[in-house]
Amino acid sequence: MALITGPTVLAVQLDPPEVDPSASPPTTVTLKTLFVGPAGDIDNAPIEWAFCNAREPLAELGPVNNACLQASGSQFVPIGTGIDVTDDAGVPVIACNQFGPDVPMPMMGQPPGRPVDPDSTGGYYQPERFIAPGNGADSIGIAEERIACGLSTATPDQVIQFGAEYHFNANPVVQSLSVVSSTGSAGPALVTDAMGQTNPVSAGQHITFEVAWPTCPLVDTCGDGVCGPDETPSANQTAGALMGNSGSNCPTPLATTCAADCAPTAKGCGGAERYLNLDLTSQCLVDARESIGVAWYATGGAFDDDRTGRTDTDTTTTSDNGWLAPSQAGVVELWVVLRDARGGAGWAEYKLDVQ
Amino acid sequence: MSLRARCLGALGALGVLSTAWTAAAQDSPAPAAPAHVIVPPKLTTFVQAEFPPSEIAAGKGATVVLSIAIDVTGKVVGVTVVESAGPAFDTAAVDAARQFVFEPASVDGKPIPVKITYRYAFTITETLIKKSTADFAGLVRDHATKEPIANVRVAVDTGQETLTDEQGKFSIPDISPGEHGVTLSGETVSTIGTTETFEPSKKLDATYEVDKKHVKSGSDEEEEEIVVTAPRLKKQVVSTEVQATQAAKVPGTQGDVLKVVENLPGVARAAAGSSALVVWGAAPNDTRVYVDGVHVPLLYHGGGFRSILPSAFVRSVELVPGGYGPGFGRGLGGLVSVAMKPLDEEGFHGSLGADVIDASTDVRDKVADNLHVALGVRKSYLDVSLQSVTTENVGSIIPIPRYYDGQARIQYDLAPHESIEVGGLVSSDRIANTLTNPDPALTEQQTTGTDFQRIWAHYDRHMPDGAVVTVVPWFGFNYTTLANAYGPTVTDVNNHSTIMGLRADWHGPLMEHVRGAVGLDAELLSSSLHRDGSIGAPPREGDIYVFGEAPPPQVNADDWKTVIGSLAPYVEGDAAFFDDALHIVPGLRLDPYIISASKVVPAEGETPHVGTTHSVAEVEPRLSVRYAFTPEISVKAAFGIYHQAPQPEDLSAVFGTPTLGLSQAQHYLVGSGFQLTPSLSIETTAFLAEQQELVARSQDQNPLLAHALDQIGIGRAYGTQFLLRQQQIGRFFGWVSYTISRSQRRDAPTIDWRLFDYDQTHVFTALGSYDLGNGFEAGLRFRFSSGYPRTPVTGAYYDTSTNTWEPLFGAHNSIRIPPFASLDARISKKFKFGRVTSLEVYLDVQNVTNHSNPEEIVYNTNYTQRGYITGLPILPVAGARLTW
Repeated sequence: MALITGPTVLAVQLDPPEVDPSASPPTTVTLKTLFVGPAGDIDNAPIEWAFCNAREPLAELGPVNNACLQASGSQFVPIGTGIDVTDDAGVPVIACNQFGPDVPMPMMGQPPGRPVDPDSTGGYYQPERFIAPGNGADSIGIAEERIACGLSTATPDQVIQFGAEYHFNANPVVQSLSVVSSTGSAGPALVTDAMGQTNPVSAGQHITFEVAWPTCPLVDTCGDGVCGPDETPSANQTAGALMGNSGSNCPTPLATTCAADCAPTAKGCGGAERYLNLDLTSQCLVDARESIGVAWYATGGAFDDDRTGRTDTDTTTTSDNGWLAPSQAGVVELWVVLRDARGGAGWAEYKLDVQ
Repeated sequence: MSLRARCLGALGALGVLSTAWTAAAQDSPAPAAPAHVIVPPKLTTFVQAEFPPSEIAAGKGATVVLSIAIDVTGKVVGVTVVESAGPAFDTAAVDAARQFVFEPASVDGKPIPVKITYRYAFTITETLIKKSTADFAGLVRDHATKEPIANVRVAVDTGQETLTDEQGKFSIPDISPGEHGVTLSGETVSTIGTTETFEPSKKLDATYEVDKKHVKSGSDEEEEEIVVTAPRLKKQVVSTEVQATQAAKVPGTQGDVLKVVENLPGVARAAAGSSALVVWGAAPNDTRVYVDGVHVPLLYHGGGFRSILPSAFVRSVELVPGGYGPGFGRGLGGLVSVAMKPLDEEGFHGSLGADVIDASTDVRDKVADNLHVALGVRKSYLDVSLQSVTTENVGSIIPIPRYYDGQARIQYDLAPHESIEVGGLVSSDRIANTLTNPDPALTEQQTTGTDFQRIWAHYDRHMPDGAVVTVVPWFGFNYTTLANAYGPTVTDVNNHSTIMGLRADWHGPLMEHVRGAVGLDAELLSSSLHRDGSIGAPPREGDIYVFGEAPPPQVNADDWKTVIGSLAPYVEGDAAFFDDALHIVPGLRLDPYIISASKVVPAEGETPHVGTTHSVAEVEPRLSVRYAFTPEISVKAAFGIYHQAPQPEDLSAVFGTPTLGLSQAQHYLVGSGFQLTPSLSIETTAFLAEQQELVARSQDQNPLLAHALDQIGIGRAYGTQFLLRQQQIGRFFGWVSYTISRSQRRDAPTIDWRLFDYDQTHVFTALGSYDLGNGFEAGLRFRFSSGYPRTPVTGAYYDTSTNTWEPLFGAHNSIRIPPFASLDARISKKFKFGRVTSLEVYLDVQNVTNHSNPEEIVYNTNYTQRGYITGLPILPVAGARLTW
């Protein structure tokens, strides 16, 4: 799937990658589509976007309700059409009811509804459906916006701590793409397509690329430019956070106040961020860390692997992949897409001049 | 009657004397010395050699000339073959001669060692020729005085009968093999019945002892008391029972007796690597397995390579696919009942076997006059075997089962017809594999484990009136674990259960032509469970997904406890009419259940848990009718209502519904049987099973709290099964079974019927085993079955958040995996050493033709191409078993 042979949506970046549906005024969300073809980026295409508000029944095991894959219906709320679309109205306010832990008040005599389960990062997601032009037929796909809905089964103290110490996700960033030398060390970073230059490679050559992303701190240090899971923007929130997990077998909170990193908004990191999560088995708030997935695409040649990545426990901030350059000279477009575990995405494009 | 050789032992020429004797003779001064008095050895204990079974069919006798060395005590110290008649005859003759005892030869009254030449003649007699029928003979006598009773009518349900003579003896030849009812009646004997099992070419000798009572003046004769076993009332209308001796010879079983079940009519073929038992379209969990009345959670170890019991402990295995009597319940599907072999052997016996999959051993000993013990153990090493032939880490890629089991039994005979057995059984299974990927999000890991232990006491008493009392209390633990990881989505399911039960049963004669049974079947299951991970993993029956698809990323966790108990009294009668031609067997089972779950809603913060308990009592009528137009032609019909409690795993407030109740099924069946020859029969059974209140995932877009599962599903399975069975005739036995059926489910009233995930339209099995002689046996098995239904993928869409293509599905279960076909072969050679010791080596080859059998449908990453995972290629399994 790494070889691009026709118009294809490779990734969608939602900016911001995580929003509070109940925010007032609503948070404007921009959907940026990496839509490419054999000739490279496609800058203009009638990609039709819509929120899908149909909750998925438990009997369906896919990522979204099958109704979200239809062309039209009352379940859709249009967002716009294009490569990059902006939704000023924000994510539907019912998102946390439909796709999160909030359930409508029960009817008299009826039990309440079942909350939606979070993913392993504690996240809930509002699905967006797109219809993109393809080779002869439109292709359908989905993107998902992470929504901040709180916790469903935590104690009040944990809810307070979570509110103070959980910081919204930031999209990952491709820091560099390098060619690994025969000695195993990464060479100089390739120049991106945005700089209007190409990178020479030899025809038929097997190259090992190494993509790098920013290093995020493993411990919180105020002033390091990242608002970590043990940092809060204000003393009041720190006091509240310190009540979390209290009176239980859970670890004692370590909240500290760090306005420099956390106020007025929490500063994120373009790599594998640490974040606060509720461990559902222990019912404790714990520090977690994102995994990073890497998807590799090119208009020519062949990658050893379509996808690589790092687990949440692997602190390496690079990932390697081999690529066999085409045997014929020409320009090859190459894309590297990073995805973090909380739904963030980022990418970079490179032109390779096969000589 | 056991097969015996008619051996004519002829003391041949007393020729060659021992060296000592020769020396003594030569050293004597010839002319002057007085003549020596030479006395040859005299045979005082003759042991009859067994006529080699492998030579019977040839119909010829033989003579083996032996040289026997006898020491000064008369003991045989050496036997050599002087003139051979072939290995089988030689071995039999030497084995017998070694057990001879002589009065020693002597010279002038002084014992001396000698060698003699002995001609051992084997003659074929009519009785040696294997017959397809059995003979029945015996004695009826007074229990107290041991005096024979004349004029007792002994009748077999085949229609054959005779009267005892003045010596109380009777004889009925040529009875068709199988289990038959035997009735004793007469002017001084009230009609009393029993059952006996007849085997081809064998004679059954039986002694029936009757306690005659005094006849009071002017009153009716008092009842006689007869010490026999009453017929089993639980004989089902539709059942297939296979004796262990036959089952072990079926190709593809590698000698494992219990694996024969998968070859019986009504049983769907399990997918490669699966041990699921799907009977008459019921879910695997709906078919219950009992070992001597003790409920066990599984019959086969993981992967289906082996059963949980050593074959040496198994007398027979019986499959009842439906319509069974009130003695059993708690399952919507079939019943597999394993009968353990009684511990009644003299001396020390055992076996030791090994093949490329596992090794096992068992020993059985009579440690005192009324005390027998038996032990068995088995351990797999397939993972090691495979690792030794490849450099790849196969075990991390292919799920290779690792298992062990062990058994212990102690039987104490309290009285001649009363015994108690205390036993235990442990079984453990592990399967683990990992599919690594450069992207951790695509790495898959799975580990499953199933452990269980059982201890039981089995009390049996055969009453003088022919009744039998059986009481089986049992206790045990079940542990199941599932650890599943698909990238970051991790699933853990653990179930630790304590289970106990009691089965008490009396069955015996009630009056003339009426027998009855009454009993109690109790079971209590207390479970402690933990689950975390995706609600979609593992998939449930009815889920729409493709093999290898990632489960939903949403996760949750729950810890809960359940108690499920039921105490079911039952009663059953068997009324015989028209000279036993018509049997009407009504039964009734009252099954009150209590179902308890520790959380009625999911835990929230520190809110205390609130549990739920509900009880329900169900009445389950059962009825079966059999009518024999002639001894060769019979018809049958049965009906029954069955209930099944929810699985403890389904009573989670997070992943299931704590308030689930009972599911119900009705079985209807009609059939016929034709005894084409004394050993060849054909049975046909048509069946319909309807099910209600089946548990399935909630279809609701907005499900209620603690209602992830609904209990509004219905199901139906219908079809016909055929069994053409040739019992042992001469050197051959075999059968052909075919089942055509359809099993459907409807998970909610708002959706359409669909095929059951395990539905197989056609299941055909033909097998046979042939005794080639000289200890060689060969067998073939051919199997054909429809593939399981699957839901077609009609397209795909792209999920940009996970960089995966997700399938778009067509109609639910509207396509099938291509059909399965396999030819399996087995050849074995048994070497006998002495009378009871033998070594069997075998080669069991599955899929001889190396036919590529699709077992699952797989797709490429964007679902534009479809392919198949194929099952086992040609798989030769060589092994050996030493038995003594």
